[in-house]
Amino acid sequence: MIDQHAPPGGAAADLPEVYGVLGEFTSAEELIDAAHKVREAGYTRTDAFAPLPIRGLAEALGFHRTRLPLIVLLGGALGGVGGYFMQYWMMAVDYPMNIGGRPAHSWPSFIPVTFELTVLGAALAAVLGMLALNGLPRPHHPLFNAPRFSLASQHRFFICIEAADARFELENAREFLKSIGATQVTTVEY
Amino acid sequence: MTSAKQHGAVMATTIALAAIVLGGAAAAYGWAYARPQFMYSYLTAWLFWTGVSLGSLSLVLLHNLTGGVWGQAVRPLLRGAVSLIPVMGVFALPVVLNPQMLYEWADPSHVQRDAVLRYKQPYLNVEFFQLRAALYFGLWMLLAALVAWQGRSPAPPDSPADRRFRRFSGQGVGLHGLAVTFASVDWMMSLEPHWFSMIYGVVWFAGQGVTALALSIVVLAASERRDEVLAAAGPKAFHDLGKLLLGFIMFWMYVAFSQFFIIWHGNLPEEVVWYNRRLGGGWQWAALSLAALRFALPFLLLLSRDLKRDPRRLAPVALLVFVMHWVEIVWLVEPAVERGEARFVPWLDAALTLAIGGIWWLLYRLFTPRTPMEPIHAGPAGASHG
Repeated sequence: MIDQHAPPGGAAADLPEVYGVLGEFTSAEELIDAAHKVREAGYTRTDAFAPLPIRGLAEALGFHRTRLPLIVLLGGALGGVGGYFMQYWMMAVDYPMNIGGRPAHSWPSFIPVTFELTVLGAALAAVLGMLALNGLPRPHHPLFNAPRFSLASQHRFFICIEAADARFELENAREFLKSIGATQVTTVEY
Repeated sequence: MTSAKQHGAVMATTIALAAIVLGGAAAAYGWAYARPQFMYSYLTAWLFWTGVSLGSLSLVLLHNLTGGVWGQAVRPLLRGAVSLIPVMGVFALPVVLNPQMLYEWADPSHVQRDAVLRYKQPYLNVEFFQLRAALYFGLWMLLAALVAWQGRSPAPPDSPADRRFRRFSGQGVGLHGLAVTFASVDWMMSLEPHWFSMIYGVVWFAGQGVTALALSIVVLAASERRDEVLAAAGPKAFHDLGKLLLGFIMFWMYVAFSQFFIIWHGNLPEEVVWYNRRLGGGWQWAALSLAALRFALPFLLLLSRDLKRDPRRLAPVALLVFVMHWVEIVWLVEPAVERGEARFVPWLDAALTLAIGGIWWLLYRLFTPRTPMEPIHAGPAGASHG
């Protein structure tokens, strides 16, 4: 998780810290087209916003895989293995009891709890891992400082190039967004 | 590219013909060599291929109710398998007409000596057994005819015709579930007529669904329709089919383990005999292979998103699942047989499965409409949940 907030104080404290530049587009087709161009220009720290789901937008922007599936897999494996050995330790090592004359290590009776704890481990890992990776919950976001950004939930389409991008240079990024057809370009400040 | 696929189709036909000839020859030899087992091997082979057709029927009815790109992709293949139900009804005749060759409850002298079977006679008797088989196949043929009708006159979504098909699918899937449950009791469970399990029919029902889906994935991945599907819906269609396969495998394991768990836990003599036969005398290896190759390995492989979205990697997993269903049917049927001195002859089950399977495959290729295929509607609704 990268902290996107500006460091408090310091030499640049009197300059406005820039989160990124936001380009506005009027249709989904233009947005997809622009997303391709942004990606081709080599920007990687980008995001797009639209009032409706758009097929192929994530791919156009070069959306990368997250590590969430791996986290979920590990959570499930931990839950399953931990659940099984918890029962094994309790029933066969720590406090063996004669239940119906069965052996202390009766694996079939451990399966339901193992299954449930696998699901629990995977589900908790999914929720907590998702929150850890995307930084939610988050009451405010710098993009909300852009006055027209609320239109992203109505009828406008946006692409943001973040200042965290290695290739980011404020004026170049603004010019670039204009050159690929943005009707308005806003510099987003913290 | 096309010629390679035609070559593949020709090869599949050749293999099917070879399976009929070689399987038939081996079966004829088995008829002379291992007569007591012949009918049980036939039962195994017939139940396996009937299950593929019945599972396909479940999936078509289910897809009428749920919709989705996965079903559009495999629907023509499923319909081809459903249209074989009358043929499987013909193949049922040796079993239905000769229950005394398979089931001890059909042998009057045996029933005389057995109080439990005398008590169960109002249900387990030859005439009622035959009547029930006729009812099951009557229902399935009716549903198969409706599915074929739907195939001839595709209805646009939410048209009156589409709603009518959905209504019969809703009622049909319920009746179909009942028929499969009762059929599993009649044809398989009553091989050991003292034993009973409530969830037995569900295990077979789930197994049929897995198998029908697995075969459809294999055939789709190897056919010219694969490129059509990929062009219209992208890898999502295969992704969804893979997810469904994973879900069905888990459901099958869940119900199969439930039955084992409850009987193991209860540990009652009249119940555990069924598992004693199937977890001993060599059959434990079949049980272990089912847990490992029908559940654990496909489960772990199908967790991968990349594998599910790539037909070339998904198909081998589906093929494994398909073959393992045959092992399951053998494991369900064969340990029930009282063999005395005789030994189980595995190749006879395989020979009859190949012989019936070859016929099944040739008719399946014949009945599966190859062109024109149904168009694939992959709207935003189809894309959003994925």
